[in-house]
Amino acid sequence: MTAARLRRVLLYAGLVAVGLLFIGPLYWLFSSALKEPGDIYQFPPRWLPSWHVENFAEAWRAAPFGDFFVNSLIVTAGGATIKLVNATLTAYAFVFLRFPYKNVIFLVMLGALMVPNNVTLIVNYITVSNLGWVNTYLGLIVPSAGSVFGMFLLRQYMLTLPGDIVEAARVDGAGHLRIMWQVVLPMCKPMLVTVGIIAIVDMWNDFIWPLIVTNTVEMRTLPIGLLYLRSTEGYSNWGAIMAGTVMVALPMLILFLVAQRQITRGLTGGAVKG
Amino acid sequence: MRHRTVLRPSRPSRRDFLSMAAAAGVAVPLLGCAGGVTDDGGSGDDTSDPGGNLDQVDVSPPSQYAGRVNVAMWSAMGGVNGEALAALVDKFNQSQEDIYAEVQFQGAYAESAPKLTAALRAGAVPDVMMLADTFWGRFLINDALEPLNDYFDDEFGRDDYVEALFDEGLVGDELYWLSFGRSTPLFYYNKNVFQQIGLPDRGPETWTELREWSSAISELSVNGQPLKAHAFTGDDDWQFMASVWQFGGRLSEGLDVTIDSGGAVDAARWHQQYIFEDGYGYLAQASGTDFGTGVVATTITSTGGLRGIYEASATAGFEVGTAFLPQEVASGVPTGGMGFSLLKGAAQERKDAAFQLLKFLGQPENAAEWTLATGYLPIVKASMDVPELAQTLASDPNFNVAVEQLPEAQGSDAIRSYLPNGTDIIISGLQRIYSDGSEDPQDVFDEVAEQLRQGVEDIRPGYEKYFG
Repeated sequence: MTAARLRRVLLYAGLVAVGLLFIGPLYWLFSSALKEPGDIYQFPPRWLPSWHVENFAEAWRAAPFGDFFVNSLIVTAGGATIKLVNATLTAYAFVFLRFPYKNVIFLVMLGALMVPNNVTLIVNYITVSNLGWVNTYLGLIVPSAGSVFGMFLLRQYMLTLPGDIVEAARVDGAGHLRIMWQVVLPMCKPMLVTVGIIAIVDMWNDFIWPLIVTNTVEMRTLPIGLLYLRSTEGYSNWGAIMAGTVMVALPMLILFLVAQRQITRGLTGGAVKG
Repeated sequence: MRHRTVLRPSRPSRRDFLSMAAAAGVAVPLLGCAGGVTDDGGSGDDTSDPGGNLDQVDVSPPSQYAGRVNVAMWSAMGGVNGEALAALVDKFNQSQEDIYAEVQFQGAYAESAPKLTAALRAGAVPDVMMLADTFWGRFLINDALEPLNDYFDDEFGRDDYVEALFDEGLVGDELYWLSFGRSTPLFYYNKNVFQQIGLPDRGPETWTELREWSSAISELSVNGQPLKAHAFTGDDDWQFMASVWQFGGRLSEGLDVTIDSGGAVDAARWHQQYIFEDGYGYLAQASGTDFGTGVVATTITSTGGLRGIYEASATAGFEVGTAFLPQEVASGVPTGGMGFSLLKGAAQERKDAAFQLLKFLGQPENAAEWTLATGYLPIVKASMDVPELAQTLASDPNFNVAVEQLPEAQGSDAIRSYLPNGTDIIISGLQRIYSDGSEDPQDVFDEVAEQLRQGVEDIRPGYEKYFG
């Protein structure tokens, strides 16, 4: 066997191992969602499900998942849109506008990125409560409207764009809005998709904040719905919990599959152009 | 990545919860200067006083209950137990025409308690709060809870409850916390294994006896692996506290930390030896699940786990036995679980209505329904005479063991109940001992005690106000 072939074999073995590492838990989740309650507990584990679709009905019955879906859609669509718009405008400003203390402001924003969300949790709650937004969509969406991370990604990407094109547009008499809309953003498409997906997944999966800021079952989102399925002490119906988790996770998995080409282009694009 | 939590429903990011608990620890002392919470809220001094100055959280009554007094109950019960509670509250709403009560689930104890802290700070609170036995003390010493004595009357009071459990909510003579879903640990054993190696059909009387039995147990194997004799719990310090008592020690006397001396160190050293030198036991991720699947012969876990263990053991094909906890030099049975408190700052009309709900839940037939649905202990004496429950108690000896063990049970040591991160500190020390045979229990608990004592200094003034 030649060295090249050996390398190839090792490469594929490595890829398979990593693939299994990622797919294993997902397979366990999806197959357990279709198992009889007894099979889930079985040791040694049973790898093939028994097509026990009643788990989904039970999860759906235990909590109003229809409401949760609607709320999650509203919060995700609203929140991700605002995040993306904010991040785009801020990134554009940092790259193409001249204003005093630009670097200081940028550093302060980066500093905010380092503060863990948990620290601001109770302070945010009190602010939102004083505004009268507890248990409303505003309370769910507005506190996460700013995305420093998204801004940062877009800024770094915009810095790599060839300055000549923007210069040419300016000579042709284009204003900032026109430059952004017709020149910069079309070139940023892969990164926009990446930032958009990150924003969507963030909003969809967010757990602690929606739990804190909503009280009633009508305002809850999907990740909290999962909590309704789980007992605090003692007996939990794992089949229903797994089925509920599949319902929550599936939309994001599909989104990733559809958009993955753009995402990899976005993440690697900036790196090679440098 | 924090948002991956969704893929792991079993433990939606423990780190997040711990940081929330820590955040609550920071925020609770702030309550002292939060206008309103420290006010006397019209508690007890004059019942015609319209009451406190804290608003109510959002309640959304369905149209058929419009115009009633609204009561918001914050619950920490999801799953089967949450459904059982919701069914009882629904029954309450149908049973009368003046009050509409709404159960609002706020996540498990570690999430709902910080949320109450935030709600108190923000000035809009629920009327009834479900608090675990180790959580209500923190709100008590920050003056957030309503004294309940004046709400009881001749037809509904302490006599109706199992006194030992009722009394855990007392501070002096005043009740601040009314028991509801209470549990104790039980010793679970695999009857088939015991039969196979000729052990008696009972639990061990002492830890020493368990060790004597363990060598025979560990000669068996399941699925090609040697069978372990006992699974220890490391993500809670509840079972360990029981062992400390059984070895004659205490985690603390009042707020004076004693985890670094006597029975506490003895118990830890015994468990560590049993795990590492004898090789009979291990630190389990989920001891109840391991026992239910048959990979370990005995464990100690909550009475509330019985239903789940039955289901799992039916698949694994063995019979479950339960027994009193083993002793060593003393009996040690801690209680756990939760109860309800009213919020002092709520308007009097709301507090009166809220107590009607608590009274309803304390009626024998409702308490029996709760016990049957959840597996929590019967806490209302007369509920044990309700036919369905009486029949269950008579026909399931395992369930009855929990009831018989109850007279020996007592509440947690104060350090767990009043120091907001007390259990976290103890648990982290315990995990070191259980997972590493070279850690010296004395050294670990010296460190733990040091941290606990530092925390105690901050809460002592509030504690002495109630217990001084």
